[in-house]
Amino acid sequence: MVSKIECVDLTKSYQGDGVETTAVHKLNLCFKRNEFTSVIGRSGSGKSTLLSLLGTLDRPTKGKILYDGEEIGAKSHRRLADFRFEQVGFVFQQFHLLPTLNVLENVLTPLFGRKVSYHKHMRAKEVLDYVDLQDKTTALPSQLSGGQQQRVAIARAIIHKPSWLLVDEPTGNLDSIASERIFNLLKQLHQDDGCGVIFVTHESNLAARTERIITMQDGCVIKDQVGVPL
Amino acid sequence: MIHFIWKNWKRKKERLFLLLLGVVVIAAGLSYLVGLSDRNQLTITEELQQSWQSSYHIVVRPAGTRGETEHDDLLDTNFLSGISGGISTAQYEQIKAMTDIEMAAPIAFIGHVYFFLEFDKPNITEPGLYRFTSEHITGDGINQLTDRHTSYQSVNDHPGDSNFMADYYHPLNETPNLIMQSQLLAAIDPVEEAALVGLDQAILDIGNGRYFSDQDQATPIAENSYSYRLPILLSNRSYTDSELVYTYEKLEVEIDDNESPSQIYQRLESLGGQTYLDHLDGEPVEQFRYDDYQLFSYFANSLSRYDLETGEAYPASALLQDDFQLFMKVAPLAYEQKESPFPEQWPNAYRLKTVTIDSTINDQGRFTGYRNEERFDQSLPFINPEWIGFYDPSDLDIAQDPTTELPMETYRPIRAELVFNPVLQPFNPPIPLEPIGEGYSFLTSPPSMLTTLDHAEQILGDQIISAIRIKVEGVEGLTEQSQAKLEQIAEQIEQQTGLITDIMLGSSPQQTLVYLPQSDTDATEGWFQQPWIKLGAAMTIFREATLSYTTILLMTIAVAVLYVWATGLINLQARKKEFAILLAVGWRPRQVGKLLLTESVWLGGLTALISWLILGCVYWSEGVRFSLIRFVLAGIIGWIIYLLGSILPIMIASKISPIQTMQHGEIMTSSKGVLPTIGVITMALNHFFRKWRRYVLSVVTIALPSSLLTIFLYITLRLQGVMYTTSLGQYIAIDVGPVHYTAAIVALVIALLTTVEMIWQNVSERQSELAILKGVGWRTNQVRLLIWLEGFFTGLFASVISVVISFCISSWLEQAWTSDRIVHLFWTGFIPLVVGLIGSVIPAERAVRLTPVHGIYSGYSSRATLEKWLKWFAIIGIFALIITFVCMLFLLFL
Repeated sequence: MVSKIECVDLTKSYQGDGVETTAVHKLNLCFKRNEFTSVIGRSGSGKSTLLSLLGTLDRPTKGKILYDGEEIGAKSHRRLADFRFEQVGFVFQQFHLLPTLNVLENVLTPLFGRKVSYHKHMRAKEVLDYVDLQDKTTALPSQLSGGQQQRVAIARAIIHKPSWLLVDEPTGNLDSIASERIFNLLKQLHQDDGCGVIFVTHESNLAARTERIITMQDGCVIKDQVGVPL
Repeated sequence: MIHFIWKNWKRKKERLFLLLLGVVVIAAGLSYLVGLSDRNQLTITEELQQSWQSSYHIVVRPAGTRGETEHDDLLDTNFLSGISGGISTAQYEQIKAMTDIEMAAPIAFIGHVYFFLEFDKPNITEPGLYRFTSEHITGDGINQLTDRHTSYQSVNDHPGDSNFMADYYHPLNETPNLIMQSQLLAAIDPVEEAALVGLDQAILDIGNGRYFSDQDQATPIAENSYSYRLPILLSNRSYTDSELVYTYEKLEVEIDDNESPSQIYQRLESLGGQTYLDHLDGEPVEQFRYDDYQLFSYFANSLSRYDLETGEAYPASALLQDDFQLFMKVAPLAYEQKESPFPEQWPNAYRLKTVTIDSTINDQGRFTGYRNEERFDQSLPFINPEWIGFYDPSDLDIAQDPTTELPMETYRPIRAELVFNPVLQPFNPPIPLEPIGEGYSFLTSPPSMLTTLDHAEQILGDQIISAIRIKVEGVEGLTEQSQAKLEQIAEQIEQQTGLITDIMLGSSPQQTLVYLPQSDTDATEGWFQQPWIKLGAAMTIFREATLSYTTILLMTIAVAVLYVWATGLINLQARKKEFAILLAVGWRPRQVGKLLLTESVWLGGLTALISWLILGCVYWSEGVRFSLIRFVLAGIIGWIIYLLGSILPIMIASKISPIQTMQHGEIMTSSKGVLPTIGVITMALNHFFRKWRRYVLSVVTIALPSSLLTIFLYITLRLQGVMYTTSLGQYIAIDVGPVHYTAAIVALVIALLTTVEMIWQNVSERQSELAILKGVGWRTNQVRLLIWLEGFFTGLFASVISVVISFCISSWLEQAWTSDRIVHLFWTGFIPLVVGLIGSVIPAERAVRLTPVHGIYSGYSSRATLEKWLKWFAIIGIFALIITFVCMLFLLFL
């Protein structure tokens, strides 16, 4: 269980068409598992890049990320995959459900080829029940609404009880009611399972309801403030 | 994992359909090619061996006997019977003693021996002057030559003048009715000849006839001996067509009983001599006709003292003398190159050279023939032929058809067919030419008299062997090993003896045109076709057919691997995001690779299973000889194709980063188009260049089989040089041609599938883009054109690459490109264009049918009934395949 993620001089830049673009610049942050943190900022401020770096989806150009003091970014792809499987659950703005798999199968995807101590199907049904989609197990993603798809994505993210939930604008494509439902679900997960949530959003009203609010601009943290207790 | 793959397949039904189609095409192609490879290589060998047998593997000739035609690797079919000795007994023994020589049968075409046959005398008693006309008519199957002699003979009671001699007149019955005949004499080694052609088994049960034996030991010629006894085995056949006609006519010239021959002659001279008599009308009083068989029988019966027909004793002898004179040696024909009037049918043509002969044996003076008159030394003793038996050439262990076996001119007359007259007017059907039987003629009769080499050497010395026909141990069939061994033995013989050798095992008959100019010895002038021996042709055919087959198989496999790569990569591109998500949710990179590998293993397995089923059915139903190795190989190759094809996608998949979940669309190095997008064409072109990576695959996948087709065409053209001009090649071409083209078509179908799949994928990915285009008012034809153009550009680039590859390969093969072939090359350049366009038709129709509303939804369907149906179909299908496979194994092995 990783309880603390530290960013030390974290920098990520991209090379494209001869121009170097720095997405995040010398970030020094510390995330704790018992916090529901939101990261806000305009488009291109580096929020999603930060999230992908924290979730080991990408490697930093400079600096390092310490997970409970251990730097694992330089480890093998296999170790990184295992780390993600065990510690991190992702929720994406575009939901990223596999279109050819039904809801139950999508939720089960992280467990394919993995040996786990619990019953996979039981667990999948349990998380679907948790996100209130028990009656949609055989539906294809294309047959669901945006809010439902995002809930499937959350169910998929939490099936292996990760320590951290990294959520990238989960409500970006949803209406206000669905957004509210997703936010509450994440909040509930944080409270019930003790799962650290890093919640990237550009909706300041939702961010304002989190325990910690990090504001980014041009790849830098311009504000790191305490929010409201959940 | 399998469950995951199945879900992915069943919900992408179109892709599954294309995948299965690819599996079936590859499986069918492999079964056909590998199955036919089994038939092909074996059939080629078997057919070559069945269609053209070589009674011997190597023929050894004296140095200096190569002719003009051998520049073209062609030997005229009766080349051996024109060789008058040259190989010594010592050389023969040296060859015979070499290791691996199974049989070495020498043959010495000694020459023509002359003798006189005496025919029936007329029963004319009435006094008077008679005109005697002797006509020896020889036919060559087309025209006849008549050798006519006239003399005048008187009948009266005068006893005659003992010293009287006149050139055109003599008293009747004072001199015998003689005809000079000749037969060709050859010498053999009885043991070797028996082994080579089974001569000892062809002896006829006539009188005390027998084969040569130990009792026929040659003894040296006694000093001052006039003749030498030769044991003779006589053929029972004459192959000529001749007739002898003796006619007696009574003339209106009175002859007194008391007139002496001298007085009669003087009176005839005073009347005007022969010229006067020739113009007188005569009244036929008696005529004798002897056909060819009778003439030969007179000779054979007289020599053997047995009636050839009845087997009974034949006490009389028509032979004037018991001793025959060795007169004329055999001589070769001489040819000169002549342009073939119809090179496609007869690639080689020659003109037979004529020679002028100063006659010494008849009164013709100078005459023209085709062979030089080379006479024996007249001081040689006469031969005294002692008949020991008759043999029947048709009982020999040789094929009678010159198109199926190396000619054995020792026992079979050489044939030719008149196909054109001198001004190239054709004869249809061609008219067969028969041997005239003269030593100067084009076609020779086989030797009718055989003796032993040991005896012949006593008279003629020890350099009388014309040729040695060799069989080599361990050479069973037409294989590279056999050829190598024969080449090694031939080289050894040449080096050790200085003689020349030709390997006959891999030869083939080839119809060759021979122009026969006018001569005095042969009746017909014109163009003749003869099945000549093309040296090395069969081996060339075998090699070329095998080489081209191997090339074709390898290239087809390469195309199939390329197809699997292409589909794998297209699939990977399409599923890149999916894999990124899986990696993001914790899948290990190896799991993605494993997923792709499992897919390939399944598809490869299915390919193998279908290949085996098809092959099994072919083996079982068509009774083709079962070859376990090839059977297994066909399936394994299918499997390997899919496994090889999965390597590249797996390697690329291992490099997929989960970060792509955070990005949109395919990663592009540059989003800029090559050209400003101002219309459908530029839009299609820009799309083509943006997705160049995947198009490269498609372009190469189309270009490769198209180049293949050009190369096949090249190989076929090259093979035509050997194949279609030789009789064997024509058999083989029938077998090989379709394999080439089928392979190319299989490869092109695979390429077509690749294109369809790739453009299909593009359409799938661009559903929303296409929907928007339609939404903003694009007409159906514009959308169709957009997709067609993608196919067109794919085809166009493939065309360019195909032409370049073809050109490079053909240059590498040192092919001189004639204008015809360049035309072929450019025609084949159109094939990729057509494939590209056809490949875009189905995806274009899909794009056309896409409604703006549908474009925003995913194309995946999960209709429960359909899925259930698909599931059961798959289960039943797989079970049916397995059960059929097991049944087939049972049928094949039990």
